[in-house]
Amino acid sequence: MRPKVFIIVVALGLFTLGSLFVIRQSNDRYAKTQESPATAPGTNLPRETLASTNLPVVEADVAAQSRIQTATMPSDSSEDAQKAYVEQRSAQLLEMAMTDDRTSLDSILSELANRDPEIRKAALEATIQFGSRDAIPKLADAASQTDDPNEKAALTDAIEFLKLPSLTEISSHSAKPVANNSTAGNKPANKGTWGKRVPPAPSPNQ
Amino acid sequence: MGIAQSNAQTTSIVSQVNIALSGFGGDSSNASPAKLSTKDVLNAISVGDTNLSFGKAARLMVVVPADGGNPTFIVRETSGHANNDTDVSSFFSTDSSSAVGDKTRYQILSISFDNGAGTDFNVNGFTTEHRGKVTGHGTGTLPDETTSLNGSVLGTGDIDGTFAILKGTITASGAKVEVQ
Repeated sequence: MRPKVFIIVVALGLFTLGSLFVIRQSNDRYAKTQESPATAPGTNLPRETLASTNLPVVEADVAAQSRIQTATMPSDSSEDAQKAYVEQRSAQLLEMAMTDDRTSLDSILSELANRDPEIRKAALEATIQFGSRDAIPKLADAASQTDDPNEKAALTDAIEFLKLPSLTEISSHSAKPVANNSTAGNKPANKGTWGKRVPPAPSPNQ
Repeated sequence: MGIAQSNAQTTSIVSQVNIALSGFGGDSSNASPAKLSTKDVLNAISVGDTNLSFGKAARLMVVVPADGGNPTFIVRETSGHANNDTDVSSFFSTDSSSAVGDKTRYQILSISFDNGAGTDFNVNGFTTEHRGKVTGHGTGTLPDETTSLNGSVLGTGDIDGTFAILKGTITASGAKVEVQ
């Protein structure tokens, strides 16, 4: 009997120590989260605002984040703040798209990895409008990293779009460069395969 | 907060227009790929009217009266906090079918552009319009306006004088209330 009692006591002791260790780790992590900077990486948003959205959070922080979410339940004001931020950032990206400077392109490309899908969408639109083929490697990276088939398709389409010669490039290289056979001249385009459809006249029997 | 307005001023929703068309240009024996973005359209306007010249950060914007009405197109160049707007509406025309829906509306949007110097397009397609609150600096908030518009379009045109078959997207986003 004594060895069995001894084993049970030791097992209970180990279990209690283990439990205390887990509880302490959890408390430390929570305390660190509350002391951490007010902004979340990749955004200028307060963590509370981010937590009130459906954005993904870093896995290691899930427990703490869930507590923050509980403590700061989504309110209309935080949702509005998030929405306002997304709209403002999207507008900034599209404004940057119309410039020609490399710094703007880098800023746009950095947002292709933003957690917010709306900002990623705006960044992709801005990349297309910026029109630089230098963006293609970053777009390819983003396409390889996303699991969303629609987003992957949009990124791939953007790569194909950027590869095309633009009207400005065509105009600056020659007067009529779109036709790549110089002997072709200005032949009119063929009529479409399907001509204009005219509904059949009703039969006299009807 | 109410909207400040005087008799001489109009409250409008101003959004940035983004054009991304691609396709093939050519004739009965050739077809070569080409694309046309907003920057190309701005360049084409400068070609069509040599009195117009825009800086590198110029943006194409659409201005729609808040209480409804025809849109106008402007090119906006911003220096510091000051906007310099040039009306380029004469290069564009638009039309749309009846729309269905409330906060999200669906319609067929047609938009055409012609610089009068060999570059033009006439495209239309399925367009999704989102409506909601729009705000502006010192203008307050309007509750039921177009916040964004996204059209998947196709059509034909001419790229630098060569006939082209085109498809792509035309979007309007970043809506702001402005009193003009």
